[in-house]
Amino acid sequence: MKVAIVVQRYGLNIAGGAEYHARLIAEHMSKHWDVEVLTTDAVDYVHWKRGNFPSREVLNGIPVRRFKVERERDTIKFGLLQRKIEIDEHTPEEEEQWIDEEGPYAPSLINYIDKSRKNYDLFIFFSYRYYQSLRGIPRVKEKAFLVPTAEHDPVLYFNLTRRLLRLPAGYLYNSWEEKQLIEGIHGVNIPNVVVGVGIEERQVQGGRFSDYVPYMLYIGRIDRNKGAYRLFEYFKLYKRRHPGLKLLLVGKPVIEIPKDPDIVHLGFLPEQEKWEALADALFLINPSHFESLSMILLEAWSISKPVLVYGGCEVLKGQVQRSGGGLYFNDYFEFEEAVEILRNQHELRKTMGEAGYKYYYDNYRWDVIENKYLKLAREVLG
Amino acid sequence: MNIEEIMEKARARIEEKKKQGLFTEEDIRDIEEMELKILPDVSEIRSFYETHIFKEEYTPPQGGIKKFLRDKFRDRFLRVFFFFMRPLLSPEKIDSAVEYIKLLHNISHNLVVELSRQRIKTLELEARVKALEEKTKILENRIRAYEKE
Repeated sequence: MKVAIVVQRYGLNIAGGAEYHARLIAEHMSKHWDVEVLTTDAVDYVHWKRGNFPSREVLNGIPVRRFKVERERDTIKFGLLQRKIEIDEHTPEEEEQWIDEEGPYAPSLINYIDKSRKNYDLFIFFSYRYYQSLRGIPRVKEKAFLVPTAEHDPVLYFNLTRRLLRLPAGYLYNSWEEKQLIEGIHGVNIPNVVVGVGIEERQVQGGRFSDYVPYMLYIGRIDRNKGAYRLFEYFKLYKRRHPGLKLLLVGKPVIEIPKDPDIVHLGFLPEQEKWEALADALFLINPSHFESLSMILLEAWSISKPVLVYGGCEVLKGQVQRSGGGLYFNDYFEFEEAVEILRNQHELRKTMGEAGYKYYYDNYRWDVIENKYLKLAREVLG
Repeated sequence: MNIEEIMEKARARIEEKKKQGLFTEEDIRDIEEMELKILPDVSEIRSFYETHIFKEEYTPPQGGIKKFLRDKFRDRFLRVFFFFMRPLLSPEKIDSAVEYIKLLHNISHNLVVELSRQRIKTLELEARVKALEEKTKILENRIRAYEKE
């Protein structure tokens, strides 16, 4: 079966949740299908600046076709248009214009999909809100699967999005909460599966970061959208009331990190060191409000590490409630109680880690993920 | 593993703490040390919701060509304005919504701090009044005792 994976950006050094997710799926599903990636030559996700890529190449055994981004995103023009669509009266033409402004504007990619639809048995589109999905899905809707990577976002409620979401032949959701959100919007019965992404099981030896023990660990972009301000404020208050615990941060800072001896920024760590930092941590913390799937949560559970998440994010709270692999907090008082439990109740912390591991083992091993993709393709395409 | 059960117990403990007294010595010290956030001039920040809340004021009594021209002028003006301001201002800085939310956050922070301080003062005053009442009672009893003698 020949399958095209369509995603806004693609590459070994491209950072971004959906892009990384698409690459992992392409590489793992190539064991079962003849997979090809259709993407653009964009390198950044704000302006869609073009990178220095060949138009065709093979990355980790996957053939990649890249199509030229015809124009970069004008953030001011795009921002004004988006705001108008969100809050003012607007015309269908303006919504159409919004798609082109959103980008990455690569009409040659859409022409290619249009012309070669017969050459592929299945198209898997990643991220509903970008140009390649909004323009591409209507052209091959009967053989299109969508991995929406949706969060609560005003774009979800645009008329054009509502129309688009009714088109795909199948859905591959990241979580039950995402399924509920999307089905609540399109309101029709489309074959689907809650699948997410797989995590390789590994044995990790701790010890490298023992100087910082005991600590809670945050991994990811240090950004206000990821709840970093909330985390800093709560942690500073917590440590005044219950000293002795450190907060270790791994990842690229976008905002200023408070100067505090108990808040330690380790920077961007190599993969192996990241896992070692996780192994030495008491627990992982994810204070983010917007997540469609938190891979780092699954990584923590794959080595039996409990987690603490922000309850305002339905996906994270749902994952924790279903797995039993950690706790959640809605305000400072709950944060304090939850940290105290995870810090002081060794047995409970261990039990939560084990529950998290079981959840990972049952749902997020690669063979489980691959079978879910294969099953949905068989169901829909025969 | 039932997470909700653990969370319920945690919430019960929080309620218990609150019943015992909202402020501990540490809390009081924290609140006393807490700094109020500086508030910018409210009139300089345009509310994100202004156009919704005051929609009626912004809509001329009759639509037609006037409204069309006004919208066109506004769009063109904004485009020209942002074109020249781009080198000086980052999108973050010109985002009035962000500024407005920051303002609301600072106001609510200051209100919470001030209300907490007032609550502490009230509790202190209540305790003093109670102590004075008790003292008065003792003194009255002593007077009565002297009078009997």
